[in-house]
Amino acid sequence: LTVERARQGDSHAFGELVRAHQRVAFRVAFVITGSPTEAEEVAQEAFLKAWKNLGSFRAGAAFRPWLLAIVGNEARNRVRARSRRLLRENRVAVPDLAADDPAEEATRAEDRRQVRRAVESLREPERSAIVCRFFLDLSEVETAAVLAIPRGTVKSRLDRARRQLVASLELQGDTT
Amino acid sequence: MNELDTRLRQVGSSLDWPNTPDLGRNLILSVSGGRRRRRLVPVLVGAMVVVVALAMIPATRDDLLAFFGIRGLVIEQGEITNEIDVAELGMKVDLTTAEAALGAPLDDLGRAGRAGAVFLDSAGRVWMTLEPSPALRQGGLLTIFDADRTPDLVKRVFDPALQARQVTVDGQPAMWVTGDDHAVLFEVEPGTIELAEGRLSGNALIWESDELTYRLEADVDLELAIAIAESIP
Repeated sequence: LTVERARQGDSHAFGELVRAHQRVAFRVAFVITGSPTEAEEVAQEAFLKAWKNLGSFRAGAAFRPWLLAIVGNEARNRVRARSRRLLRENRVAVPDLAADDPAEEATRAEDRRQVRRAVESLREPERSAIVCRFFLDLSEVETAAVLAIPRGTVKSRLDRARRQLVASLELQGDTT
Repeated sequence: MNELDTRLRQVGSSLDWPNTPDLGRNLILSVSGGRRRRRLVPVLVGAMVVVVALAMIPATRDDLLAFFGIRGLVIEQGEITNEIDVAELGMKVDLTTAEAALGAPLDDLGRAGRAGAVFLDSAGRVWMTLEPSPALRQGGLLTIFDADRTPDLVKRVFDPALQARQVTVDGQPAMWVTGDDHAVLFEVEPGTIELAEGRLSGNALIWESDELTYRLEADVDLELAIAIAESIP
């Protein structure tokens, strides 16, 4: 309903959409640009473009993947503007782990560090798929939209990444 | 969900993400008549309007003006001068050429007085310096353009102290922008933002009339700015 109201030109409804999706938009922009400042600008631009193009948004379609596709595209354009070489070499950025909770078992904190290191060691195609799917908690459709690749490619990258992570983490039989 | 997926999600929820800025706080959007007709109807959201961006989409004359807050855009105050850089204003032309470009007469500017130098930029915008007059003691700058013919124009006004409020000119919505010096940027092509105008000082009134968008920049108060705007035929 909110999307439909926004499509009809209700700017307040669009404001609601911004507030509902700004966190994921900002984080997607951040992992691609690696800069909070740029991520904010990218997210703003993406929302502006979304607003401009709402008229062409298909009624009844899911808004979030559509928005995230714009964000991903904007963020890549931003990186591309820096340097074409950088775009080729660009790796999605992953924030550091938050400080350990003193009340938490040390083994659990160590496990997270281990998993994060294993993800860091993946090749970029698999790594970016894992980051989107699990660290950003996107669906496969949304991951495909952000990375501008077919959903089938997302699945195959995730499968490959899981196998490599399992091997890396010595989690036998954990790929199903 | 298998164990690996669970562990990955645990990592995701333990990451130290940068704080998400409140984009909505700075969002000012306006649409006119749904998406049918363009109007200037700024709706301020929140008191802390840091920046205002004004977007006009020529291709879809369904038209909207979107006022969009952009915090953090890297424009240093120190880079903004109070001098008009005429090189930024396009080609110097005579009034007839400017009138032809806009498809509108410019010989009578009402209380805005007389045009000094007239410039036409590559996007079809006409910039006129206004000579000092009884209404504009220090002169001013009047910008006129047809938003539907100006390609993908995005105007942004930057200043942390900026205030924008909705007013009316001839009963039509208009925007009054006040603050310290601020800059205006244009998106000259998708994704390419340029500082098209190196300065803008004092106050600015933006309004529409007969399919054209006007912006008056001058050291005047709101009442006088509206009187000048309404005097332009």
